[in-house]
Amino acid sequence: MCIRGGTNQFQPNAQNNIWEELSGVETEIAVIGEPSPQVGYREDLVFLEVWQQLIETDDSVPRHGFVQSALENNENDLIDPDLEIETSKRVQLRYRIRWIKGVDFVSYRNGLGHPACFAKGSLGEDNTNYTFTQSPTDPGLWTSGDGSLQSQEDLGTVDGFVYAMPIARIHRRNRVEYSLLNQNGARKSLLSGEKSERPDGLYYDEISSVDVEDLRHQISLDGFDYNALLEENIYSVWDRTQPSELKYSALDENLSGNVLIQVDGISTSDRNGIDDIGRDPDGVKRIFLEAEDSQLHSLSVNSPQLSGGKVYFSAKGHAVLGCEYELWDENVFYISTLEPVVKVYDEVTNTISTISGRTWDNLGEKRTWNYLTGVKNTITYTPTDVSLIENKKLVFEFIFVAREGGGLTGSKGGFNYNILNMLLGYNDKDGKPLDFNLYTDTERVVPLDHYYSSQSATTKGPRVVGSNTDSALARSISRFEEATNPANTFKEVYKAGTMELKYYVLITGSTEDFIESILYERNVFGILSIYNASTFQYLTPSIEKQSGGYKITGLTVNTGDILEYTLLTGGYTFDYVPHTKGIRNIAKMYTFSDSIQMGETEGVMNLNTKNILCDGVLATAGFFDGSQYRHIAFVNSKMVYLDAIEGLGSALIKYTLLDPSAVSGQIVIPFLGYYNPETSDQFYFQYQYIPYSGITQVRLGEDDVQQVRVLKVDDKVMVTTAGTGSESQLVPQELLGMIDTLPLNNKILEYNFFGENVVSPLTGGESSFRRIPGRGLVSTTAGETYLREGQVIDLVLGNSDDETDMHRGVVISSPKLSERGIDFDVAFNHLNQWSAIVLGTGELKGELFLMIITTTSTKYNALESPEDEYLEQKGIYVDDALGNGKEIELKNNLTSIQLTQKLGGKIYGAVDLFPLKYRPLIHSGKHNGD
Amino acid sequence: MAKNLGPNVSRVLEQDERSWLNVVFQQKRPPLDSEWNLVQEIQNFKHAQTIRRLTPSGFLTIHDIRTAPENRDDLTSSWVDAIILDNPCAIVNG
Repeated sequence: MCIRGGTNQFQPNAQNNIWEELSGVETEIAVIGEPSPQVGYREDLVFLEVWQQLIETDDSVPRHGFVQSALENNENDLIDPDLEIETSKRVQLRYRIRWIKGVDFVSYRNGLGHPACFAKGSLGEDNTNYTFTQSPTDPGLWTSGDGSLQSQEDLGTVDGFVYAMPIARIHRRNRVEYSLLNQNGARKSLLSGEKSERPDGLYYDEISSVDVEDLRHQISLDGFDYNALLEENIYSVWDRTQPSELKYSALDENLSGNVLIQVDGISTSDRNGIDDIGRDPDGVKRIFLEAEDSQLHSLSVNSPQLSGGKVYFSAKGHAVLGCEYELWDENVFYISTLEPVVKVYDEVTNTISTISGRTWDNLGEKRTWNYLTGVKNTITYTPTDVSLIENKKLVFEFIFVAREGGGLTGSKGGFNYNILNMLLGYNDKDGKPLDFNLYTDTERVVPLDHYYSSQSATTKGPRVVGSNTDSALARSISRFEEATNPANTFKEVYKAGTMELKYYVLITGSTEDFIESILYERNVFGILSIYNASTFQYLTPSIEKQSGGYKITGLTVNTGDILEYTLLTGGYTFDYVPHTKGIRNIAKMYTFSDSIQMGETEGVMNLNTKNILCDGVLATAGFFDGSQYRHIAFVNSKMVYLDAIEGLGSALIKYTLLDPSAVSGQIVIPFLGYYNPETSDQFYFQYQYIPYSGITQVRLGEDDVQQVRVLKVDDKVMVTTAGTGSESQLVPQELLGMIDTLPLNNKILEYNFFGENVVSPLTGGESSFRRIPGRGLVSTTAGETYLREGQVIDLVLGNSDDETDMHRGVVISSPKLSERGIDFDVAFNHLNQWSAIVLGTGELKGELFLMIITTTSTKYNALESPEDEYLEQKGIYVDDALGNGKEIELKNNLTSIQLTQKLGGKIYGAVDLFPLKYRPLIHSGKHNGD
Repeated sequence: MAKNLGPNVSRVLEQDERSWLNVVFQQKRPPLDSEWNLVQEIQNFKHAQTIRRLTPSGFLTIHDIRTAPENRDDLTSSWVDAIILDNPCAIVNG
């Protein structure tokens, strides 16, 4: 039977004018649902119910059999007007669209089959003895009844069946005011005409696109083009536009959707409403993640304490020798195996040098004191020549590795703060807003509506000067230097960060101007450029810091000109990684000063000695004069140009002035530097994010096996060389012409579990992600795992252990990789992704999915070895998987076209299934090769 | 199980598992109501079988489900608890 939809309708008892307003098109069906719940949450099922009904002479004849149609019924013409008696009956195919509230979609992916979802049939009422079961031969069909005489009578259908197909899963909000403790709530109705109090602006009785999961299955009479499906859906995964199952928020189980809200913050005091494990600031940490990550930590030492020619470092509370430097809380950190850099500096001669000869012992993850063995794993540094460091000023640059989940002593707490302030990002220390990145943005527009303090609360908003409105962008902290340069155009690499404000001024006759030191509740740290928008010229006036702001003199302007200032503003900058639920870096604007003598041209600053919370600087402010961008400083409050600044990324900075200082006095340089929040700091914010869209997390239990049949393997393999261990991250020359270069952006990398698109700290090379020709995952050993068309493969959940209780992704016959970010204890080099269109079985029977297998390897480049090892990932694999890297030996030979992978019986990597758009369905036995 | 075509038919003939191709009417023998109904049943069954072999049940034409507009200026009270399906066409292999 075929249902041709359309013929507009609405649910019984709905207001009659709704259809007119919503659509008015006969080919559309407006479905009016059940009212939203008072409290908590609810998920509703919309489905199509179809039956065959015997039509009598006095029955109505709805158009197309659509019993809810708003259109006028057809005439019942069963009685011939000449005979005037019944001569026959009819069987009509009838259907209705039903809305069932409160359905369990975790247990019943399609909703149908839920025990409270009853068939109605011709009777129009729930028949509580009849639920739906999926057809054993038709994966798109659910039936109720058994065809018996009893079913025929109970359901009022000719054949004793009622048929059903799912249409949509719909998440509903409750009617209690939105708060951190009720994130699924909204107090306002669409009918109120008022603005919703929710940060996403939704109403309790609104059904938004983020509330809907399309459950319909697309079918095709002439088959699907698997190549086209593969291409389309791979890109939608990268773009995060892949349709997904509604996901539940980790913070509020009542909250689900395609877009979720996360609230987060840092505070030593617990507050209600948030899971903030390990979010306690201590003046050292800048990482507050659920995944392990590392940070630079600077230790400034003046005349180091030595014992036997060694410098000793131990965890806090574990020093035995009097000369030991107690550095880290071993419950929170351990020290990376990467050798710390040791720098020596001389502020008289203005020199900074790195000490090369050395021996480091006991780096890596070790307990400082093993109480069982009595072994004391104190870290020691032994220079080849003690005179290199004796009585010298040193900076040790350690790599602290913050343990997963905030360490061993993470505590839970929460926040109970003004919603609007949290939405905007706020801190309790100085009341200034936070600027933090959202992963969906590469360059975030900062809303200024709430921040212009000189206006009243009701009229707050950006200033408007003539036809110009102030605006602001948040820019990268990792590429801050470039971000502050308006001449740069490659802005796509930036993540949001410290704010760049476009600020307009109308000239009223004076050649002077004054920029306040605080605008939009942010500190103004510098003026990046001054542009006369009326004469189209960049200006280079004199700039002087004064109390309360910056005095500008010598402007080349006329009355009525409009100046566009580009200002560097901000306070704290947070680098937030949603999928690892946390902060992986914090930066702050500093102004550091030093004395300078007339005629001097250079100087050295150890910023860590000026502020111990700053482990290093990322950038300085600058000024663009229309042709060149220059770093700047203020000598006795007047802006001067720097010729160069060396040492960005560390605490030791050497600056060189463009011209010798004309005066003696103070030199002040504005910096963006790391900031380790103190125990008194309280930061909090909330944001929206798109949750991970694979389905295996929800659909596989601990011991379940999901089988899929491979229908089409991608002819290309995705390779990223965005690693940290490669010396050369370029694709071989002979492959250049064949490479389909993908847009490299944070979305791609973060999907692949990488936190950000970074410049390699070892090589300075650019990250890259490419799709190159190659058939993946070819095993050369009989009986081992293949990824080839026609192959049926098993997906099982990886074994989780106490340290990595993760619920995302699966691997093939092996422990799973990671949900919460990179957890590698060695530098990785590259990541590969194989993809295929696969056919589900079991609960996923008949449905096509995109399967993506993600694997990583530790190293690759022509200089190292073409034959590479896989990672041993601490805390990710179960014990018996560790050290078994040979089973999954990767052979990447990029000097040939084929990228092949030799497999053992197992693949170590993350595997997930992504639903395709409209969830295409085929017969389970109807596929290539059968 | 024979279908329920109401009390006014003489009987309901089944075609299940019989592989009927035709009903052959005879001269001077008027066809019975049950035979006419069987003719239709055979035709319907064959048609359904053809489609069933081609595809499982699902939607032949499909468009995005429309929900309340993201542009808040376009939001009207008509969107209370509502979604719109645009011109759906489904095959139900009943």
